[in-house]
Amino acid sequence: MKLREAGPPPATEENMVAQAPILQARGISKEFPGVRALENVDFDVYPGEVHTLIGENGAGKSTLGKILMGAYTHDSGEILLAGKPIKINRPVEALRHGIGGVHQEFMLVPWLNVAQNIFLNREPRRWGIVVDHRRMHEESRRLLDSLDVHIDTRQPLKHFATAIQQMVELCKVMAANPRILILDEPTAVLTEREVECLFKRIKEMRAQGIAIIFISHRLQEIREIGDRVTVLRDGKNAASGLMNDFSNDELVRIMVGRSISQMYPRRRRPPGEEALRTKGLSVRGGPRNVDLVVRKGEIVGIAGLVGSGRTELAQAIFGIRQIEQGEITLFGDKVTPRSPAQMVRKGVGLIPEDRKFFGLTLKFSVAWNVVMASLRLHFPHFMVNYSKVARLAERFVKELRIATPSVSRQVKYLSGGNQQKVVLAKWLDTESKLLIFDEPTRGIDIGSKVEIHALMDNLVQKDIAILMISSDLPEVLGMSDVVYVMYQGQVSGRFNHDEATQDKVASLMLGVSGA
Amino acid sequence: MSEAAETAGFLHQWKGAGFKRFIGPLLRPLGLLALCIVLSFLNENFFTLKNIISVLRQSTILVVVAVGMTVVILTAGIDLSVGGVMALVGCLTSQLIINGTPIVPAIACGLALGTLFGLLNGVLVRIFGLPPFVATYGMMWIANGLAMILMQGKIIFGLPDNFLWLGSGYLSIIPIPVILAAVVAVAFHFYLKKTVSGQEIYALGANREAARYSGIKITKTLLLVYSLSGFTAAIAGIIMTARLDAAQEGMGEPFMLQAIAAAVMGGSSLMGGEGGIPGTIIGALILTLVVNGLNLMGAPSMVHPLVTGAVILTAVFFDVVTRKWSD
Amino acid sequence: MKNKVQLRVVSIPPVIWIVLALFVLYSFFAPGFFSAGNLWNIGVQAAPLLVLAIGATIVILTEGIDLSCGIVLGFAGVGFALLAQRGFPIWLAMLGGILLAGVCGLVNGVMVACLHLPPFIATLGMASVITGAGLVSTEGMSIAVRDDVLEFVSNGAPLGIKMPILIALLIFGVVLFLMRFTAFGRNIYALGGNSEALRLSGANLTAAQIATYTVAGLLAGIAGILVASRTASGHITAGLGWDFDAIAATIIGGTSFEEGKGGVAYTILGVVLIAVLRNGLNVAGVPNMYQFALIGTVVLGAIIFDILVRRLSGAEESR
Repeated sequence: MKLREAGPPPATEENMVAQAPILQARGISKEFPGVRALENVDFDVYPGEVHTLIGENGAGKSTLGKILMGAYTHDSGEILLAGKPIKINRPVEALRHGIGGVHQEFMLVPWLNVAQNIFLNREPRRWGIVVDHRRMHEESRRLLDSLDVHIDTRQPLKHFATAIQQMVELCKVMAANPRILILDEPTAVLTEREVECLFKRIKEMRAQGIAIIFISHRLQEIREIGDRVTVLRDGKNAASGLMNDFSNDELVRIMVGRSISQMYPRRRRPPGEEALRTKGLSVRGGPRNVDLVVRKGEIVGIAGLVGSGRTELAQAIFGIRQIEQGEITLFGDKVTPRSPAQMVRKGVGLIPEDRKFFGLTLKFSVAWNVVMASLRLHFPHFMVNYSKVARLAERFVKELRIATPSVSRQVKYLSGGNQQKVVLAKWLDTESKLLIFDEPTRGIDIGSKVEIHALMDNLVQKDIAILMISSDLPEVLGMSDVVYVMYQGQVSGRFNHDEATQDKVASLMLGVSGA
Repeated sequence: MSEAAETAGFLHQWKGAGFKRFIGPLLRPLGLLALCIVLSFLNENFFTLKNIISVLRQSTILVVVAVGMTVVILTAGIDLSVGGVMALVGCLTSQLIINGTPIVPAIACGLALGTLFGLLNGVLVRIFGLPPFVATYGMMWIANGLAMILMQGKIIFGLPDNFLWLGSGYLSIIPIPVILAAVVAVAFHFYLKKTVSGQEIYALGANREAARYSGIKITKTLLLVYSLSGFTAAIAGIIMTARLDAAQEGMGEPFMLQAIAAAVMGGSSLMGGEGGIPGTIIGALILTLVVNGLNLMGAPSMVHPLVTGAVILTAVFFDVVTRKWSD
Repeated sequence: MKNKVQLRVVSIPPVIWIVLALFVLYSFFAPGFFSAGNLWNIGVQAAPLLVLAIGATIVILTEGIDLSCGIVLGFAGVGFALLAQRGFPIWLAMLGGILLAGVCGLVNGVMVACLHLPPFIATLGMASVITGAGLVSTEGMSIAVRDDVLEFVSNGAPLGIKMPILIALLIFGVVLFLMRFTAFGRNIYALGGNSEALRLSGANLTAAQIATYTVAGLLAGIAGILVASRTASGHITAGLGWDFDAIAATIIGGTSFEEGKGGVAYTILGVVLIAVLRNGLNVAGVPNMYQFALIGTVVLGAIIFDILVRRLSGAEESR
């Protein structure tokens, strides 16, 4: 673990750096049930600099960002503002201290209009009480224009795409004139042009002396915008220093700490017959004209930005979302998915993106979550046998190495990784032949990630077909035999494992044609 | 039975830490016992067989309605129409009997009507997406209105003896309604705990989306659940008519709130996914005894809604608070 | 994705179609409907319902419900009558009734916002408690009130418009203003859907929720005074069944339990529909007992119709 000298970046024509940090975090630790998100982390930022915070998914950088902007509270450690310790319990308190943050879960009210969202609870007033709608809209438009976003602020927020909503969220923060700005993965949903605009604005703010914390895992971007860089790994400080002192390779090595083959254990094998084929599939609310094939014994990965229609595709195949056009062939038979119940009986399983709400019943035990999808399979005469339920669950707990004191423990007490294993166990119990994974390792610690990848590999060895949706590009590239890329609801590219490179896939994800 | 299986049987009760795990299941029977003791001071004959049977008989109507209500509440829904359905079915059945229909077909018609009403509730809730309390509230008014039209403001009485037997007859020393209520309770308890369909109801209530994503048939289950509630309301209405030898619109009105109270006091959470029949029975008994006690103390009947309301508010409050403990 | 704004199709609320259809129907079956006297009558009958429905609307916007408003209406009348009976000046008695209703609303709000009881059960339980209280305090009887002021309140016509209608419209205007131009109104819209964003922005959601139910209570109280003035008496059952009408008017008018949809302005349409419906049935000589079932069916039918229309036009996802 190399920890370089932590100090301010040198002043250049591009930034105006003061000598004392405006915000310091010391010894920050944060724990969630079953998981240590941050352990004794230090971080600081100076006025007039862009300090990038990088790390892999699950390294803790988002958590640190949220703590600094007041969305989470830390368990131990202290935060100092201009040298004085402060306690922040809510984002609005952070704003009062001049710390504003934009993170991936927007703090917006979708059914209020744009201007109302930007000035939520801070509406300009006339005579102290009456909301001045006209001024609110004028100000909002001015702020949005500065980001090169030109929209009708009277429309409800939910009418706009995610990228616009993020800009609104940014305006909301900017309207409070923060001294410190925290941006968490702001470019995840933006096109290249929008990123350019954003970076321009960031540089303007940096020149005004605002301290900016930029959280990302995209190396090209942080190199362009960052003055300093701090790497987190497994919730701890891994390295810190001037941006120019590190090469990309060094950063990757510090971030991952493991070789690629360790993270993505795959034994390639010739695929079997077709498990799933879609032809011209158009789904209500998203994907259009999707052709894709998944064969037994292989992992097909789908890369794409948030909002590119991948989850909707999965939902359509699983019978949750209505299909408007096209056909689906499952194990050789044409099928019209109408409900999950029907698709489960046909041998399909879905491990959903939001496992807590859609994959698990949190207040039920491990045992009941494991058998929930296969009750009719085990008990065809409708009579439930409790000891059989426990036995089945115990088998999976052993097989998948789920860390739980007993099968009757409520699932909500398990860590993210173990929860995901329970969801997986549920589908293994139904003996599904096609599994759809939507973001299989999101929000899971590195150790469990590797385990789940290994489990996925085991499954394909047993001839199961896997369709994997992931926003983690290294994961897609490392695990898949075939990679599809989706952009704005359409398939923009298909690669075999050997052809797929980060650059080719990334550019198709952003809609740049001709890789 | 392995230790895992034993605890697996209790999986549907909340697992608080330490002593709360024991207090939880015991709280209600203890409360019932305490109430009995208090009442024995008001009524020296309280613990005689005669009185116990009398109390059981008083509670039967409520038990039957509450059982159906429990099933609905388990899915995080509610059925506010039960009172109206009770009255409507009681009125219809007695009208049919008075006009010459033989008893068994008349009862069958009544049960069918109640089940149909329940099914309609289910359709409104599931197919049309109305919130349960809006849908069943509207249906309550429709049921009341239909009962009004049916009765034209009159009251029916003077029903034949073999019908009244359902309400006032005995099998040796046990009143028939108690037997009916017991059968209903046992059947539903068995259904909920021992069948796949019953377990799916719990899953649906605990987390509807997760249940759906696990392949549980939501529509079928919900329609079934509301139909069952209508069915039990119909049974209760028939028993009530047989007991009172009277049918009148609006006679089921107080039971709606009491049925909800019984279920909630019995441990069924309004958020769904938790609870069961045994708890509901205890809740129903507690409510019956409270009313019993009020009567013994000579309180006028006007006080009843006040007490019932206060009891249900307290019960729901404790339900919410103890749920926070276990989180 | 480009900055494309989805086209919002401004649709005429289905309510208006139904009202027009009713007008046509009534011109055949209820000829007395269109007389000036009858139309004023509708207005006067609808006035308390409008006030009550406004209260129901703001509660429903917060994704709650007030099933006690009908009973609270009657309770306000009871309070008013009892105070008048005890010799208080009539205006004070009216104020007392309204405040009493406000207290009931406050209790509802506390139960929902602080104790986290589900709104329907909290208000249902409250309704039961207040029914008992109302019965006990009047020993089940109706209390009569005699005063010239009542005549003015229920029948007076300053500026040529009947008092109840004036009062109702005034309240409508005030609430509309509050909803659009104050934090109170914005909070109500944001509360629906349990807005984490609003909570994080520092607004005191608990206070906002309590305020909502309290205002609903006060409005029920005002409605109760209007009714009590007309009947010159106070009885707990004065508003029996009105909560259904109020909720129905709200939902038919276009406010739904969906986030942020609707508002007080829409509710007035729903009130018109219900009042027209009831009045027309009365004039056509349909006996009271049929009205309940009929109106229940029409209301549920209108809700279903609205849902179907929205589904077919693609505005709402069907399952």
